[in-house]
Amino acid sequence: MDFKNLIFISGKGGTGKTTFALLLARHLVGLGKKTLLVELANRSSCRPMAELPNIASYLPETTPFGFDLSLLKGRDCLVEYISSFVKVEKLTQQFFESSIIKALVDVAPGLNDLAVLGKLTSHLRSHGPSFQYDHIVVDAHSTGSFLSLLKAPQLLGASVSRGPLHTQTASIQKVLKDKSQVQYFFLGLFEELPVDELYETLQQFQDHDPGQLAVVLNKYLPIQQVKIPDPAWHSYLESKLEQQKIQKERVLQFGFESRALDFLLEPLSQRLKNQPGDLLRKL
Amino acid sequence: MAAITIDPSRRLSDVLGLGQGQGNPSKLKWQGFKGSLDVYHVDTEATFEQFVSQNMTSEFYNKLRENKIYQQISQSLRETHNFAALYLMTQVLQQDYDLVVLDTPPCHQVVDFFESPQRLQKFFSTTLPPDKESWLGWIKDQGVRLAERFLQTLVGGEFVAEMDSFFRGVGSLRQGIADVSQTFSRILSNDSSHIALIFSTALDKQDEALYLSEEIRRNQFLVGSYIVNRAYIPGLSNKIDSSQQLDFETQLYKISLQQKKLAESVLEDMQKHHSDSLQNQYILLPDLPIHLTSQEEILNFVDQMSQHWSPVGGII
Repeated sequence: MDFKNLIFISGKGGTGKTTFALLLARHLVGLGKKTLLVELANRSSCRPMAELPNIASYLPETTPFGFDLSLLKGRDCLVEYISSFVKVEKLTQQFFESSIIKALVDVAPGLNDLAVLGKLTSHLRSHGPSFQYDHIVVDAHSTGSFLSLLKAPQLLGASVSRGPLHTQTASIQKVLKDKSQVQYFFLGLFEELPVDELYETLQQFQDHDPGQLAVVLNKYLPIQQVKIPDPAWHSYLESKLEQQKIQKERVLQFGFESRALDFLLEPLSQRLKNQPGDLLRKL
Repeated sequence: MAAITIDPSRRLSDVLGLGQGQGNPSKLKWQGFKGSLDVYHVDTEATFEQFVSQNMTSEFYNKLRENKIYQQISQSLRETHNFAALYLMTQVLQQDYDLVVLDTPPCHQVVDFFESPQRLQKFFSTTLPPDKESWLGWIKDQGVRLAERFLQTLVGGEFVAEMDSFFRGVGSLRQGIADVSQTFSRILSNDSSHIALIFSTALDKQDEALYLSEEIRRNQFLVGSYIVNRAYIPGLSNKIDSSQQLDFETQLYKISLQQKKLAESVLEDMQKHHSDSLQNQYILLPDLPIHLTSQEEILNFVDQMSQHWSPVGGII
């Protein structure tokens, strides 16, 4: 599978976004690529999952697994952006430390989202302080919030007809739709509701090139037949395998690039330390 | 009963088989049950518009609607959605329901949701100028150095002018927003309100649950129940021997046999962490292979769940 420079990972809550993001970052390191894993949250999920000390940082920090890890918050992105234009750091800090500006940045609709997207795409737009990596993997929000995030440039850009905000929101939107640079993975499970939601999410990306979008169904069970003679287990696993078959067929009908991620038998931190094998299987 | 779903992805509506356009609330009547269930879904734009129109004159409202920033925020931006949810909740609670259940979105949004009233109140008390005063002039008077230069660099003059006009318009919402915020806080701190925190045994979810319960306590609310979902497969009886080949299924089975003990220890750790809250409930929910896509399946699920309900210490 071909991986682009900027890779977003989203999906319904509990489908394994963080797990996949960590495994993908490790896989790319295994291919010899300089890789950054970015989290978009107030708090790290990757660190507890990978059993790393939970001291999240805006500045990328190298992990024992070979990729760098960064936690992006809107305010940090804004401060860095302004600082790159107003070279006196002290003035920038004073501005952002004002209680008025703090409250404004906290509540101003879409501003934090726009700042984050601006930072993530800055190297592709040659504008503003940027990351320099072969690949940036983004452990994004669950789909509802992720769609709100992606809408922020469009909504804010529509509120003005000219000026820096208009120019930058237009360039961010252009990059996000560039299939040669940006890719979106949507995680699901082999269950009816997650697959329903996957379908609805993909429908909301109709203005993107389909080549940018891929589906990954998590927790695939590579089992052909139930062998263990435990009635409760037999009933449970038979039902799981039947659903796996049904949902696989449904997803294949969507017509997008579709893969499966095997159920992890070992702890994730252990898997990340080992030499990565194949990451995904064809659905 | 009423159920309010503030999750933009409409998962509760999907489980209950409620499509879009079925009215708000959608009314469910199930055969064999005396009661009824009204399901409310947050229509961000409509709810926000309802709130705004009720808190200002129609002349002022029509003028605000021409503002480009208002036009954008009344759509699905996250803060607007959170506020619309709060407002809807306060409206529903004024009606005569025996029980109201609020289905919230995932953890990272829930913290924003709980803190939304304070953030909005802070915004209105610190960021808005007195009535009729220019916003940019006011923040310069407050000593925000180089405000004009920074804002010009960041967003440009046209956006600053739209913000100025927007702030003049929304100033009149101050009291309405304060009322909703205070009502919400009163509801959550009321003895008849109960917060149930649901999570899985995955390491990041445990971490999230702990963080969320701390944040809820910091906001001076209390979690009443800690529930581990899909904690274990009920009825397993260890049908393998040590000589069995360790293929995928066997390894998975062995992991599954340990799941209940693992989930119990997660809850026991949570219980130790909140030992000052003796009234908490700690519950394991089993992983049942039932797919909730119809009312019949929901009833079947509830029936099976009640047989496998597993309290871990605490009080039920």
